[in-house]
Amino acid sequence: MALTRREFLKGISLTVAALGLPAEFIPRMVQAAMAKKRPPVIWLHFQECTGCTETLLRASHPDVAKLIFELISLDYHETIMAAAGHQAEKSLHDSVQANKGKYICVVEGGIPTADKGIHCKIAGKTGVQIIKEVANNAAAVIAIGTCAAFGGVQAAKPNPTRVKSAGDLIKGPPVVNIPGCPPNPANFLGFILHYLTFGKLPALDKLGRPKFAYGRLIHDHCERRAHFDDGRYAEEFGGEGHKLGYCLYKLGCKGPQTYANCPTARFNDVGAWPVGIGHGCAGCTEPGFWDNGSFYERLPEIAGLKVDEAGGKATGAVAVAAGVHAVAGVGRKLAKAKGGK
Amino acid sequence: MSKEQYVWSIPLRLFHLVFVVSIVILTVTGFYIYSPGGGAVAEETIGFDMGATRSWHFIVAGAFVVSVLLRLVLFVGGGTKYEKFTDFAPVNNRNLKNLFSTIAYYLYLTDKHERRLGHNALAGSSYIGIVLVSLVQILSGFCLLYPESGLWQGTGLALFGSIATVRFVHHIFTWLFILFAVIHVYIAVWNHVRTPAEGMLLSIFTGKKQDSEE
Ligand code: SF4
Repeated sequence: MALTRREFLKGISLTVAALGLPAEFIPRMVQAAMAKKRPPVIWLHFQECTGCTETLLRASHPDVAKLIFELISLDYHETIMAAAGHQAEKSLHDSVQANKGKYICVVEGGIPTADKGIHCKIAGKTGVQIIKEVANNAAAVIAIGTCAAFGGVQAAKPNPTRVKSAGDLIKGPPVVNIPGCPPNPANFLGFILHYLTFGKLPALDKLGRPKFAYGRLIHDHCERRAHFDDGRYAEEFGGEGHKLGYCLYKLGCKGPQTYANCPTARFNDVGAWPVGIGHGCAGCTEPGFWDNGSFYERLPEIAGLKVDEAGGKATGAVAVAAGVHAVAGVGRKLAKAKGGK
Repeated sequence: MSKEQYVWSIPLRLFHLVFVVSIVILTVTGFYIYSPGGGAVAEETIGFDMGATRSWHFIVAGAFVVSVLLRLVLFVGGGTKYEKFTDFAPVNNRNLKNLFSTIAYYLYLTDKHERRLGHNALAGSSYIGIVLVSLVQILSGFCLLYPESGLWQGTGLALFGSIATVRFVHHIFTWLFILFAVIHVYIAVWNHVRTPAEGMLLSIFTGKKQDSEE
């Protein structure tokens, strides 16, 4: 299914917008996308749900996915390649040998390290081994999804298989994190086009995420922000404020601590995103988001208590202790006065 | 015989005033920001309840930062000798002895203890503690205030691991100020009742204490 020129241009324009570049860059990106040799890409799966791949393939209007496959030469991808078994492993081996230091490696999923990594094996090799052989020889690595970027759900406490992120294990090539559960395909495409056009990695934040997509808090460009500032909050799901589209802060929205472009890039090409349809942000692009408490509370709990319950109890205990101390002092004085007589 | 002694310098008293007032305002506005109560503000009114509360929180935080910096300076010098770190921190024998004798005194185990005109070592340690808590609160606060600055994002991640944790710590530490305030006020009143001649409660306003023997 080849891309029509119209679809091609549309996809590029969307990406230029997502990257925050001015329209003058459209011709430059078109040129880069057409002229350059398609970079070989090797896509590895580890402990994950394949949701990242799914979100890429199921884009409802085909420009994004098609454009990606038009731009890259996908040499190995367990979910979509036709080859199987030894044949598949051979193509992986060949691509690594032929393109050493030149291919882009995409890692999807966290890598377990407990018990010598036996909790995730592909073709008889552990994830840790595959990372060493394949990812370490890439020109650049993209950790797609929160599992590859930060460990994700399998790294949640107590992390029984001791899952590590791609960045923790990879030595050599730069690792770019494109977290999200799942991440927006637009951000993956944006990275690829940026790389093809400028020949280098985009600016990254302190967690290795491209700034064009993760440079700003969800909260700071959310469409409900005016309600937030004005003090209008949905108090319960289905309640009056919820129906009126008020801010979801009190329903546990993690937008104020989550970096992502969901409010602008949106999903499924229909302009939808979680907060837009009435559910608070879960904070899925942030490290350890599974351990940051309930999706419906602002903060995690302490010893099974809400923070303010715990704080109130501690203050009460201190006040009682002070009271006992004061009474003891008075009692002692009285006893002394009696004894002195 | 009692003799009036100059104990607390004007900068120290100023620090205390700004510190107390800003903590009260920051705690009240902070709790509102965490959990805005009072029902939804009607549309088509002046509104901006959360926006304004946040602005005040940030402005008063500025005063709080200045007061904490002032106290840090006075730890080293510039005020009276009683305000210096070395006068009360349990880092030398003199202060360590005072620390234990004060604990015994506070637990009613003894009536005799080394009177200090400035802070005793126990109180002094708690003040060093609350200044450290303040520094954590300031750092976490700036990380939350400037989410797009690489410097502050990096600081937050290095100190706390994730921005979500920064938020959590900033909230928990508010409770440490509340706990401190309860204990601090109780102990000050308790001491005043025990040795009223010293004039402890007034000293934070006048700067003077009476050097009296019980
Ligand atoms: S819905 Fe969430 S992200 Fe949007 S303004 Fe409210 S708290 Fe912020």
